[in-house]
Amino acid sequence: MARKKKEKKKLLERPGIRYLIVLGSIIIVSTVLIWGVNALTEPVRERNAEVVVADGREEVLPAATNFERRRLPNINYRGEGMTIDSIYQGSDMHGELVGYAITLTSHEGHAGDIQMIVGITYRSNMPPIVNRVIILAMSETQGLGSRAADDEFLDQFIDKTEIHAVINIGEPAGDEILAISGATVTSNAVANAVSFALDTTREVIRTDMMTDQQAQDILEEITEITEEEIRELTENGYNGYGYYQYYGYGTGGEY
Amino acid sequence: MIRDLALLALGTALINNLVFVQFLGISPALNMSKNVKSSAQMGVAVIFVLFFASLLTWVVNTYFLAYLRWEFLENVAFILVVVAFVQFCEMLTRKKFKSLYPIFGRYLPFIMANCAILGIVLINSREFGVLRENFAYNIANSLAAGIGFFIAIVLLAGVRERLELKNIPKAFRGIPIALISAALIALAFIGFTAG
Amino acid sequence: MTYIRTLLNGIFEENPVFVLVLGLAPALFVSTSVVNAVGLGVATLIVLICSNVVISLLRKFIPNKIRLLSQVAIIACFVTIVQILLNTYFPDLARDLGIFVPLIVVNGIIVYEAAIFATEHSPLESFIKGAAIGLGFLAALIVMAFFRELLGNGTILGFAVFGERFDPASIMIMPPGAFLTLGIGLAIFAAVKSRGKENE
Repeated sequence: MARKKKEKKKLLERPGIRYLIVLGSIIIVSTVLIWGVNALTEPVRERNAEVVVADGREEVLPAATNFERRRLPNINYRGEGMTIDSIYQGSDMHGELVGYAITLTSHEGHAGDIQMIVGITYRSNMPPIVNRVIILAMSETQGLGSRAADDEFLDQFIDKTEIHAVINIGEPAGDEILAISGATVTSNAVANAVSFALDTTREVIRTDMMTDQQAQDILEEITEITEEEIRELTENGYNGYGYYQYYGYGTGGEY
Repeated sequence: MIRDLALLALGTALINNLVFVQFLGISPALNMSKNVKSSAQMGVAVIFVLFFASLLTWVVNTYFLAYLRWEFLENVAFILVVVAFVQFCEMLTRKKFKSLYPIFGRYLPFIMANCAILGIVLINSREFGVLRENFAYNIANSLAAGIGFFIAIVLLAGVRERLELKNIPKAFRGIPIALISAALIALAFIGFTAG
Repeated sequence: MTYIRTLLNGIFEENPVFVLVLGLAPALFVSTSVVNAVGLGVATLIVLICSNVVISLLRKFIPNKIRLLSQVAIIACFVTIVQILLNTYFPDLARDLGIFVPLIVVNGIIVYEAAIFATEHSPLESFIKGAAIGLGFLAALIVMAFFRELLGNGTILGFAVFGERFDPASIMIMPPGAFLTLGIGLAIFAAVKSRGKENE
């Protein structure tokens, strides 16, 4: 009994353990404090970010005075390598449609996500046209990719109705964008996103112009596809529990 | 990719030179640039530390901080890694590789608490994140920064060695004249950004 | 020394930038505008005081071998907290100061003060000394920024001073101007000091 106590004392007094305890406690306390401050201030930062986006809407579509959020079930909110965060419809004080402010996040940036807002003007009987593009958040390489946030690059998008290619040298055509030299990845990410924003706007406009019957048809089509898929899968024995059915565990009934 | 790497390296080494444009590493550059030989040794030490520091911090960042979503611990984690690594190296050169001490080891304490290492490591974390594909850019940036520092400190030392022989007003001797020299060299570096 | 004496000492005789020649990197970077100078100076002051006090409180518990590691961990903790607060309540300032906020961790002043003073003195003395040196740093930054912003941008705190016609010497806003201002400042301090010594 006496020997065990002596060994225990020696362990705690070993300098290495002492170092570990002191340094460890400092690190643990620091972590807790920092985490605490971070968690407490997070709501404020999120609110700030919202204000930035709201300001962005007004900047990219200055002719609009009111903005209304649109949620459409038939619009694809996920593009290739990007996501639409929100679609806002802007109208002026007479209630006339001015255009759309679409916030999207591209995941194809060089160093991560690029969040931007695209202002697109609606023109009756003509394709919608880009009014302005603003980068809201990005962390691309300073001096290279970060220049994607400069007017010099973003001004190219003004008045474009389609974007088909990103070129590296020469004069860009009406549907082309000149990439920033040394930052092709970033330039492509932004161009793809703006192109997707334009496609989406055309979709929204088409949806709005549909008659009620057409809208009904589309909704049924969506439901129909789902039912058809389900039928197909059931026929092949993938009743949701296909694996089990195959091995003879039964259909399991409604799922 | 090679082209992007090369452009990045050139950018960090010259256009965005660590010392003359970004102001990082000014303290060691000014204090250790009395003669070309010790400056060169200091430069090599910095390249060495930058390389390993960015390697280690990248590992900590990717597999620990990002995994746990504890990115806010960046500052604490990085500085601990850097200081621990440099102290470890210093101890090695004092106990095991004693011959390395006068040409390498004795510069290490000055590298620990200065903006160059932590600065580059943090910049890497912000610009390249923890995406696996960006690892090469991370290392390239650090090496280029180290080379830029080397160029800067040797240049400064060269100028200061020449100035030793001239008559400098008493108030300007030492650091002030070094700063004026740095001002002139910085002026030259601006030429890299033009156009 | 009385506390007032210590404070004045920190600002003049032992000014961290112009006399001790510490904390040069942030001084050069942040002195492009008085607003930035005040922002970083105050942030550094806060970190300096907090870390000095805590390190002084813990000085008897920290074994010698991990002294530096413990100190930088504590400093880094305070810097991170200040950084988060800055990002939350002053995001524009935080963006302008950029990487120099987290770089407060390796500000020579703080490490020097912590290592040399705080480990040997009581928390109260460390608090005063930290405030003194911190105020000295802030003062140095403001002085440098005053000249650089005025001559390089024609403004003070963003307000145009010389009117529309004034064509500023943009070089002052750029790196060479930074080195120049610091060099001249150091020279002036050295001259005043040696003049004082001659008179004694």
